[in-house]
Amino acid sequence: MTGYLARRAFLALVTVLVAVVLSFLLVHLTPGSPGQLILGAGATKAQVAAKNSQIGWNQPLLTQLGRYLASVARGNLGTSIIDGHSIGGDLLQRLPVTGLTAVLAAAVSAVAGTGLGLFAATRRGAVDRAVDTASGVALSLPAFWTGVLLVYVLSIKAGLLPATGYVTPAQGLSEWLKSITLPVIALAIPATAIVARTARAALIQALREPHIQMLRSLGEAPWRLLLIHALRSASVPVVSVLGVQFVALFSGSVIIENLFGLPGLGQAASNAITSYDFPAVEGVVIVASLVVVLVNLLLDVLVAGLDPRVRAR
Amino acid sequence: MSITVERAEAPPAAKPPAGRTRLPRFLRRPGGIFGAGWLLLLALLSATAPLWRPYGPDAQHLTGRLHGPSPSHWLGTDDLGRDILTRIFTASGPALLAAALSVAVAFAVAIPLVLAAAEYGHRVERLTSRCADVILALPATIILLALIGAVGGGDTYLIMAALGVLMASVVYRTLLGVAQGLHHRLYVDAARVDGVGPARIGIRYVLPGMATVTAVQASQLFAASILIQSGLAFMGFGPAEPTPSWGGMIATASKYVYQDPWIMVPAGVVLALTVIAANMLGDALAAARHDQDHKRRRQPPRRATAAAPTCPQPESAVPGAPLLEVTDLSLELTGGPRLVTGLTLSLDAGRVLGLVGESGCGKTLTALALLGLLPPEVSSASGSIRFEGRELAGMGERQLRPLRGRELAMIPQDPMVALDPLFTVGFQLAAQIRRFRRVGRKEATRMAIAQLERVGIGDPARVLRARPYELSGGMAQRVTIALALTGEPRLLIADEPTTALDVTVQAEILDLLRRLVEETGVAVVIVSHDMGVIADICDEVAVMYAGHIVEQGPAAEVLEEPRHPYTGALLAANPHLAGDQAVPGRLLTIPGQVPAPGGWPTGCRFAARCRFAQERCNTPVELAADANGTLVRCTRAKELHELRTAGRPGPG
Amino acid sequence: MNSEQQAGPVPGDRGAPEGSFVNKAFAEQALTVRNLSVCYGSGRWRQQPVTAVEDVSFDIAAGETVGLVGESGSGKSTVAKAVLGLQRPSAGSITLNGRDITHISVRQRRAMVTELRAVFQDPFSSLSPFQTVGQTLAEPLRAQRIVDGRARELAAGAITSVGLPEEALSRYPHQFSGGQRQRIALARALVCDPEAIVMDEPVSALDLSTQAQVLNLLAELRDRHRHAVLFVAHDLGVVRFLCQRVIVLYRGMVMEAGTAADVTAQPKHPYSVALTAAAPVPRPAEQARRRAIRQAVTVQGGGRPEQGNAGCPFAARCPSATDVCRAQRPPLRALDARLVACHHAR
Repeated sequence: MTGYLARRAFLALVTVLVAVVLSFLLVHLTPGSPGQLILGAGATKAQVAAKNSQIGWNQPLLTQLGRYLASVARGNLGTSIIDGHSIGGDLLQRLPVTGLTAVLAAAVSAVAGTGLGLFAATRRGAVDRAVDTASGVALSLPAFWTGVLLVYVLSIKAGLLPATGYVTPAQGLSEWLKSITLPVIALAIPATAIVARTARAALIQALREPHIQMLRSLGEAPWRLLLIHALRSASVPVVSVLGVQFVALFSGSVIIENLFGLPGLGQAASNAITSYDFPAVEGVVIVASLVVVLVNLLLDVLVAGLDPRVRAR
Repeated sequence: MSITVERAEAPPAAKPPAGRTRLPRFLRRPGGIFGAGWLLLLALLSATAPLWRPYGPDAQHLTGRLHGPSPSHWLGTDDLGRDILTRIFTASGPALLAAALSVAVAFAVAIPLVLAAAEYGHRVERLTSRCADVILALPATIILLALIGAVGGGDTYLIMAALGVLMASVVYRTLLGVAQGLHHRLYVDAARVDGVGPARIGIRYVLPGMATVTAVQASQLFAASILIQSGLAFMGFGPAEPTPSWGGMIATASKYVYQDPWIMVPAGVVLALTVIAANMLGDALAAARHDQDHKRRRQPPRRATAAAPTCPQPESAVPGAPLLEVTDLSLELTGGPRLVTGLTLSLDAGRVLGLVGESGCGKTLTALALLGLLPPEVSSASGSIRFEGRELAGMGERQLRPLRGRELAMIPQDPMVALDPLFTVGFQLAAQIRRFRRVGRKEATRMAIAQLERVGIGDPARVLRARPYELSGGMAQRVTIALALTGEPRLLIADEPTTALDVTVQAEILDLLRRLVEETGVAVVIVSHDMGVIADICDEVAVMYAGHIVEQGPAAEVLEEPRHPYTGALLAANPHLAGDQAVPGRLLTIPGQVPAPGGWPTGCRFAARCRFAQERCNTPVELAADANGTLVRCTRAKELHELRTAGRPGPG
Repeated sequence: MNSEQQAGPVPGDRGAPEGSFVNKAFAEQALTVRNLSVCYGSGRWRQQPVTAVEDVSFDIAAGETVGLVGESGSGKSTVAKAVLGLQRPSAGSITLNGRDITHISVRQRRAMVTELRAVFQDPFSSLSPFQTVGQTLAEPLRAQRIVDGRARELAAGAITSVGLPEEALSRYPHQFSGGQRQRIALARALVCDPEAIVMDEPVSALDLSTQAQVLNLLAELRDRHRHAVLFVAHDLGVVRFLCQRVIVLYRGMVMEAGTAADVTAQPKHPYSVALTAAAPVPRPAEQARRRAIRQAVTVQGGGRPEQGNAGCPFAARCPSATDVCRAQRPPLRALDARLVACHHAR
């Protein structure tokens, strides 16, 4: 188990590194230089050059990369070239917003999806087909569109929930919940559909497995066969798909934050990009990759715990 | 005597290879029709948009802003008075093209890597897989945003190509599994022996096998690509105004949702329909691949129905009656042809009955019917199954369950998969012991060890700690036998219990079963295709052909002096000989093929292939007792036996 | 057939150095295997290397059908794969018609396609579903640059020689039954009129009556042609029917080798005895007799067999095993016109 863990951890590290280098390279592809952007259109070439060397833009790429990596390793993500705020600090504050929303959406979709999957797998027939079609539609709906529709129905028309804005849990638990309910629902709809399909397929597959048939021939109660044995067999693909969904939810929340005005990583990313704040862009990529990679690592460990045969890989 | 190689029967009537003259399977489902149809329609409308659109996409009518649908603007106008219908179908062309581009890039990158990884083995595969894992773990949208930051949002095609590269990792993961599976197919080995080089193997042998999975994935990725594209446009990172984009239109709409909620609808619905269409197409393609599964899904599981007495008889066993008595049992494919007809057997305690026949004769289904474990698509049509006087046919699942394990139990064919791979043997065995005997954990472990010793395992403590995949085949089968015996059943049903085992191990397991029958008096019904196994362990045998019994009686009688031509032919086709028998130059073969269910003749089902068939064999034949007590289903049995004893060629 | 010549390699002969000389005796043998060993898994992280085949030697002359018999783990399939180039030998040599083919390249093997052919076990996956029967039969001819008309002629000849009509060439494998597909696989082997054919359990996956048909066909080919056939099987009855000689393998090593009649009727090695006693015969009286022999011969089975110790591989299960059996691996020695690897066999 430790060998497996070590291998996956190493892979995780490599992934983050690749993400960092990638964003670093992308940023340096930007036409124009930061100096130009900061000083504006009126600046002379000399002034721009001076600003750039002040930032360190003119040094060879590798040196810049090395310095950047070194400072990241120390935990320093630099400062914004737009308003000088500490990127690390800012992102740390924003992380819980995106993170909690994604986690909550993942949890909702896990529970609802597994439940729906169980329901469809045991009923079969017309119910099964209805769930299949409904999930096919649900996973195709763009989350930002359903988000706006939800805002229209539940917020504007019914006045039940706030349309935009975010309240931290510290400021009030029920207000926090109210402020993230709509985003979580919007995110959870497609995720639930995917989890439901995976759970259904995995359960049907598990119920056909010879060892479940053997238990059935020994007279095991059907509810035990379904909820204990089959669910356990099915849990591996479900956990795996949850891992994939979490990545998607994290990515998707970037778009959702824009819509609901949540001060999370997504908002930071779009701000940074529109204002060409390149250190901030790099910072967001690092933090987002780190979170996603850590969550995947956790899920890998969980899957390996559930199914010992995976550990050999 | 030597029989020259007979002309094999003509191959079945030439069917056109699937898909050539008939509509492809995926187009015969509603999802497939809708998906392909909508996408085609959209593509058509987009391509011809400049020809039919009523307005220019940028034409503004500032007096007619934010109007709902009207005769002059079918889908209404937006905040600048532009016609929404026009803008939607102007935006659709680039959207579809960009999505197609990302899918094309994804496959163009992934497929060569997959083929190389599958062909060139371990080192190459490790490298490519690690790269794919890394890319797969990157948060795609954020990376794309970083890219947009670098090059601006206007260059949709570049961004979608980058998405394609990111999606290549998903394609790689899925296709690698398929390609590796295909590489292990024997026909690839055969091609290598034929001298086929790696490139041709990849293209002619592996790639065609990936076609369906590729199509399914392509549809799903197309859908994902459209969603991501519109999402980015929604955030303002799409094509610059005034170029229309679906995401951009939804973003605008969201700003005016209070004043004019309608404008949320058109672009959103078209976008949603497109994504739904692509996903449904993918579903239809995937389902067409698993067509059989789909058919099974449509039929809810049926309870065993029988023309037997309506309520189960009271529990007392009738003294002197056989342990198991099956009368005229018939099984059928639900709503389809009969699979087994008129089956009658009886078995006493401490005796072993063999059901023997070739594949498709119905022996396995008969065994499953005894336990009430028929698959959902098969049901019992009529007949009775009496166990210790109780009628089992017609019992629901709830009534059968208490009997399973305690009265009747099954020994499976493949022991390795019949045991739960995630738990130790000890855990599984103890769990069943506790369920049946209601004892504590320590006591259950003690009993588990005793049970394992009983089935001949020399080191029970070690086996208790092992997981099933760590055991050898013979050991695992002993464990499943131990498991089956936990409830102390009186009848064991063994479905080809030794087929998956080596011959020396098979012998050991048969010896074990024999010993258990002697020691405990349990009765056994054993299903097998191997006459040798039957000869070794069975007291009585029933030979099955095309869904019914053709000969039945004591094993010694039936196997030494078969009366039915089929039994005789099976024995003569068997290359296993006693030490003193001379090796024949050629084996006796049976021309023709077994008739499929639904195509059984009303007369003798074997007549078409029988050497001794005559006109009268075309009338229905019943099982009739022969002089020595065996039952034979053959009108000529007596006559042929007399011929044989007189020295002429006969069934034996 | 002269049993002395075909009894196998001369004891003490460790085989000719690879390709350094052509012995007249070797030239008469179509297929020669000397000291073949195959090890899996060396070099992979955290995996013990597994010796699948150890020091196996045998010859097959033109016109001979030799059976290679063993249970799972005996290495018989591995030997077949090594001969066909699907598995790399770790040691030893394989010679075909005097030419060393142990480590030849893919290109060289392509040139050899008319000399060495194969028939595999599973009729359902050994034919590519994406090609017609005709295209499959023509594939080995392509390597010899025989195409179009000539290829079609040869394919037609091959398919009719196995009892199927010429129209079969334009059909796809899924339109045929298991037995018919195995015939097609046989036709694929015969289309180049090879010197040697390796058959890896060609009838194991077939129903009894279909098996009989294919066995008859193989017997016909054995009698009419001069191919050297290596017939890998787990079923002694089938081997006895079809093969002139048999080699018994256990855990990758040769236990006994001799004529099929001798070895199956009077086995000398305790493993061969156990194997013949275990093979079920559909005659209850005979089975009772074999059961008695079995119970005298076998020892309580015990878990997974372990790898790599110095003695006889069968010692753990042999009722007549002594200390010398556990300490020293018995050499393959000549005994009454056959070879036996046992310290105590008489």
